[in-house]
Amino acid sequence: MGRFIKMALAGLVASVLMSGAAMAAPDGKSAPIVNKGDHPLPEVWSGYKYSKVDTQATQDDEFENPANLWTEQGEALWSKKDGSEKKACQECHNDAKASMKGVATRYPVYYKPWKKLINLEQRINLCRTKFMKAKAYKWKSNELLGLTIYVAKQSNGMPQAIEVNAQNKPFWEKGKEHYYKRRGQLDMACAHCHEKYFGQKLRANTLTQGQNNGFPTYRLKWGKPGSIQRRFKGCNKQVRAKPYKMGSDEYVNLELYVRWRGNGLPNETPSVRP
Amino acid sequence: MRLSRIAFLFCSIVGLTGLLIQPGMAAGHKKKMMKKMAPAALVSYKISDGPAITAINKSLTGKAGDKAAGEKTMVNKKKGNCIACHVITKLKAKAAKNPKKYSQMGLIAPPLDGAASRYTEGELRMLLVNAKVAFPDTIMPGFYRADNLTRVMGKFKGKTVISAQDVENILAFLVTLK
Ligand code: HEC
Ligand code: HEC
Ligand code: HEC
Repeated sequence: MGRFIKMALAGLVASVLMSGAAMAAPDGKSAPIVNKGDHPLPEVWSGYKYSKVDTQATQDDEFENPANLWTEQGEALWSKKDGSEKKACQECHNDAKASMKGVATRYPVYYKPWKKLINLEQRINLCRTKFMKAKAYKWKSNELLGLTIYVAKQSNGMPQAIEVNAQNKPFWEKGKEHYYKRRGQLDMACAHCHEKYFGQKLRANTLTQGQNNGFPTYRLKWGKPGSIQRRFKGCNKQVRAKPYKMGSDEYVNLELYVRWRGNGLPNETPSVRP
Repeated sequence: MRLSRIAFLFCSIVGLTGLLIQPGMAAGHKKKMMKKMAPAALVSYKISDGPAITAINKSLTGKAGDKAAGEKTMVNKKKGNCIACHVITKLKAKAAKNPKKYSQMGLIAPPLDGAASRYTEGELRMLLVNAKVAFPDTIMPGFYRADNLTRVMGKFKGKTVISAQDVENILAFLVTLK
């Protein structure tokens, strides 16, 4: 009897060890983030998983990532005085590596003075206009892309962490509504491509879950980095729907909802995508 | 099924009359508006029951479909783009020779091989016009409809993805997929 228990225990220990060895850490690249209960995605995967191996390698190579030029520009801007206040981000926020750590994983956030959400680009521009008395950067400018990448990069490896609470819930709901609504002449919803058919081929493209954990992303097709807001416009246009403006309430709400769908996914800015 | 069909019919009728009769508009103004928005009134059609799903049994144009033209429309990314989602094994040899035009066939949807054995011509016509009548949640676009859509981009407003004759041409190809 005693021997039987010992053997059973040994077997149990061995199987736990073995399954531990076979299972990679859930990083959304080789093993999914698993959701239980009320979540639209039982398994959450980064877009990285569906990229070609050489595209993945380009992203992973610290020196070859084509977004580096922008990241470096962002880093330089961090300590550059600007505006009539002649202030730099650094003077108030010190070392970005500490102060900006984890920020991207919880944006967009509810911003009380606006009585609505603010996303990362808008927050950066608000600091410029409000505290530095400098001009807001344009959405597609190298400066805003660079600073946003530099700020978001400080969260790399940290899980997306949107908490739905009393303040942001109404906006989350609106984002969700957008996600499931059919639109455009082709009459498709985000969920059609990114929830129902992710991992499958739409003509030559492999559809991903449309996650936000690598933005701003370097898109090979664009030949430069682009914001999540730009991506939303592209995905609306693909179904022949009239896009909204970048930074519109509609898209910032959608951004919150999309990031929530990716909760748990490690941040990987700047990602590289086809 | 019956309810959604009635609703669909109702919407098409309302959509059509909405385009034709715009009360309170001066005749000249109306003409200009019609031209600017250019929603050439859609060909009307009758929906009836088929063996598997609902069907449109009568040709939309009365003109025989051109199979070769249909094939072109089916692979054209800006038109039918059927192969974005469907494999058509019959076209695979051509795709291998002309990968640019035929691109890679998508795997989202069931292969179209044998479609004509599963559906009558009238049912296939219905699926092309608006597949949502048979598959309410489908990703497949309604290729010949312009009503009840949300936020259609300016240049596509009031327009169908393909023309009534395109539908007939594609159909001429589809019925060969036995
Ligand atoms: C004069 C001081 C000042 C300057 C200069 C400044 N900021 Fe800020 N920043 C703030 C304050 C104050 C807040 C709000 C902190 C809060 O309420 O959580 C803030 C918030 C932020 C946040 C959001 C942090 C969070 O945890 O939600 C980001 C991101 C940010 N700033 C980026 C920048 C960048 C990039 C620059 C340079 C372009 C910059 N800031 C310049 C004062 C400054
Ligand atoms: C017709 C299918 C289709 C629809 C509908 C669609 N997308 Fe996409 N989307 C794509 C394709 C194709 C790509 C590029 C490959 C990929 O990431 O799936 C993409 C990429 C994305 C990405 C980038 C993912 C990454 O890892 O970089 C995001 C985010 C995204 N879509 C969000 C959305 C949202 C939000 C909507 C609804 C407004 C939407 N998409 C609607 C096809 C679609
Ligand atoms: C965006 C993807 C998409 C495109 C584009 C598309 N379809 Fe489909 N189609 C589907 C899906 C998915 C189904 C299966 C029904 C469902 O589950 O939604 C389907 C079903 C069908 C069926 C019924 C198949 C069966 O055996 O039950 C036919 C016939 C068909 N499509 C023809 C076409 C033709 C012809 C075109 C081009 C003019 C086309 N489709 C374009 C996605 C698509």
